[in-house]
Amino acid sequence: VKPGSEEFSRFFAHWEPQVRRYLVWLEGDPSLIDDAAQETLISAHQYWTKVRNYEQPRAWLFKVAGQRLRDAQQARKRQGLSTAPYELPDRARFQDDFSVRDERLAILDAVRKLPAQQAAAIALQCQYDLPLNEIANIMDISIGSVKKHLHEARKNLRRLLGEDEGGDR
Amino acid sequence: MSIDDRLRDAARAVDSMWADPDGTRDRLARLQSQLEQEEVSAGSRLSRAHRGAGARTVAIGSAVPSGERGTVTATLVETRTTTASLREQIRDHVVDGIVDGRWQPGERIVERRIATELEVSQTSVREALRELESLRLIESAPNRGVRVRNLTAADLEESYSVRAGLEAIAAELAAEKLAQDCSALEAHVAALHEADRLWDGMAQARHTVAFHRELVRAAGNSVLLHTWEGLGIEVFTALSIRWLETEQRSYAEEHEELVAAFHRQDPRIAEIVKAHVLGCAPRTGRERS
Repeated sequence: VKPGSEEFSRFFAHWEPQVRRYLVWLEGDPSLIDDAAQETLISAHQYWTKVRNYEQPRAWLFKVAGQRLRDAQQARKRQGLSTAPYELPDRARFQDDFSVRDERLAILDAVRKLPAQQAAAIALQCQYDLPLNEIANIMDISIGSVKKHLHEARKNLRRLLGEDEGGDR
Repeated sequence: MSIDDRLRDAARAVDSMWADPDGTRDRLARLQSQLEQEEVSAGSRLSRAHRGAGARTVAIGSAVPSGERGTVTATLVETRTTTASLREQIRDHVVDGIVDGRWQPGERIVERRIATELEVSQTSVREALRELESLRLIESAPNRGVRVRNLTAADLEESYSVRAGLEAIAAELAAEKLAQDCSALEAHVAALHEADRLWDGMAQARHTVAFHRELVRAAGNSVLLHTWEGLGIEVFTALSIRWLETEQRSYAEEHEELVAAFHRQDPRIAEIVKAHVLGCAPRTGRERS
């Protein structure tokens, strides 16, 4: 199938932004999100015969997205480039996405500091309102572990953001 | 404001990101051009090679339940060496990919992508691919990269008949030695009994391969062993397992018979071994049960 085919285009239009909205909870650097999202959709295209038949491709996509993000992060680390966002030469390309630095997004910086699994669990719960069993499925862990990660995540967030809830607003 | 309120707020803010359909279209176009670039450089527009009519195509991967993806070959190799070389690890990765259906017959295997994926150099990937090419799992053509061959049952059969011949020679050479001491083989027969009892297909395959390796090794002919290893027994066993699914049969008994034949110094040992190996080969005409 050609990537330009109508079927894949529709799939892309629907899922690509969702993949990004998941990744943005895990990574603050737009170029890494960009890389990971693109690689994820390339994989979807590569495995299209399989992916197209999924009723809910979300689990597959998010699983792959998580892996591709880790790959991209590692590759970046190996290249010894700065992982700091907004300092990359081609940042202008992402102006659309990140130009309005919404204050509401500030908490994401804290989420990204969490251990990877905690951040992923929070992202899946908060961004997509997924039930525990689906989060467990995407993360390939038990429901009990999901609960644990969510609990730990909230505890850590409270610590990271200061005990006095709401005090900073 | 509680943590949860703030998280909810953030989620709403994220919802509005990348919501612009124009941006999505741009990104699709970017992905498209990247894929096309790769294709053009690979020359993959050339028609895929199809095997002659009548040959049954092995749709590797199609029969594999997605939950069972994994490393059949890797597990098989483990019994031989504790640390597989980089080339072997890469080879197994590619074989698993072919078995799992990641690469369909005719599909191009991109050296660079595997190298990035496994964080190894392209040279070692090329080395591994060359080995697979010698096993005729993949084929390469100048300026067209490497492709997965359209493997047929006949291909597997060809490999098995060569193997049968080699093992017949090995049996003759090893007959005297094994008549005195068969313990190396017996260890694997015992393991096969256990594997049969548990219907453990992986263990059955592992010990079957190990049994035959010991047999060939007992011949004490390094050229023979080298040639035998060159057939990629692990790889083809892995393919056969996936393809034929786990056939419930008694592996231990078959191999026990071989051991018995060695013990009684059967003059027809070469024939017996040959027939045994050929009996393991997947047959073109046979339907999957």
